[in-house]
Amino acid sequence: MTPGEYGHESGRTQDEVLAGEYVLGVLSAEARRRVEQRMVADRGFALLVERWQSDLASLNEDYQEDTPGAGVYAHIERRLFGVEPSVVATGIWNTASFWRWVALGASTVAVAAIVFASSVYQPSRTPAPIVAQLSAPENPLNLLVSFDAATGRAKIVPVASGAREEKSLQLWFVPESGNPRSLGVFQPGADGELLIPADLRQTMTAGVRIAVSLEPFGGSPTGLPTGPIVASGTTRQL
Amino acid sequence: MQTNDIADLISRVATGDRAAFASLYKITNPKLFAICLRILKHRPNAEEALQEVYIKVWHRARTFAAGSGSPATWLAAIARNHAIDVIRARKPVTEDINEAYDLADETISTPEQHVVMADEGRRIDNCMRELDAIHAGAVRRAYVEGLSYNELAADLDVPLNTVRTWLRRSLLKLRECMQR
Repeated sequence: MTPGEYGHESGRTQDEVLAGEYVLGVLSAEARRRVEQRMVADRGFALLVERWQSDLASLNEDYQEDTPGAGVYAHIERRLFGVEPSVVATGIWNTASFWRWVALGASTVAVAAIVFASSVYQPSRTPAPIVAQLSAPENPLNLLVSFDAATGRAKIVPVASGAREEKSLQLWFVPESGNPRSLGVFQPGADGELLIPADLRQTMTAGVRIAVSLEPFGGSPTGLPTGPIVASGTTRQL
Repeated sequence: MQTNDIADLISRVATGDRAAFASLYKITNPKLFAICLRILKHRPNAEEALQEVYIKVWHRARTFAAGSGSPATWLAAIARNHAIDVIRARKPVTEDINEAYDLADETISTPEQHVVMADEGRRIDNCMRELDAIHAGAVRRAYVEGLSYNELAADLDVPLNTVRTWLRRSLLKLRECMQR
């Protein structure tokens, strides 16, 4: 079955059934992989799968609730972030208060791209870009420059220096009073875009303070900055 | 479990918010664990699968934040798909090379205009009641327990092709009923 068959009447019936079989879960492993590849290549077919997923969702009520072992979440955190939560508060992360770092007033930062709301996220299938990581000794902040030959565009994204799996840069909104609130973590390998939490979009006006902190990989485990501020600045309207 | 709360937590997870991820796990793990356990029928394997499910949730949160579906449906689909993949890998299903589709063509609308609504799944219950009771039972067991065609055929003691035809016809009847 090829994407080209979609739209042909009997092909459409088969597609409808195949999408339903995938969601029911009756297919073999090989057939499931083929369906998933098709979903990536054929948006019309992917919509058939999504429709079955939504239509059959009330069958999820047949699943009761159950309690997994207490250690499961710690395993997940260790695998995602590489550290035990308790270890995070020691060593270099055991820093003085966030406010002192802000007061020290590092340089301002040009945050590459803040996306308030992207409509539909489409993973791009363009060839791999040319990249360079720009660094300076003792600087916790590097710049990842990527060049896309297909479009001629270059992007500059701040990244934490050192091994990629060790630290992350996190962007914060710093209110006049009260705690800083996370605007997002720069994801390694991503394009520097951050999706700002819906309830913070109103606050992103000219004249507000934002800052970037160095955090354990994956971002602050506490919801508040735990590492040094590498840069801060005030927004303005262009 | 408030739909809006879960959607909000997932969108925060999409920004790399670990505290939101911890809250999301706390609220949703009993349901997602029940899904893994029902399909895998083995507690340690289900716990291992649950880890993988939440790792996928962390990495895919951004794709949800941009979409418009129900967060509970999105999470359940990640858990079901993963658990089904694990059970298929463990108990491989032999595959017919030329699976015949002996189905009459029916007029089926494309879902291009389809907007996923949180409560849309409700109507499937009425449509399930229109199916032959045995067929509806097979559809439900396939979905909830993640059974393959082969396992359903063995369980129901009917030939593989028969159970396949039941389910395929049931899917088309359900689709037709949902469009009414």
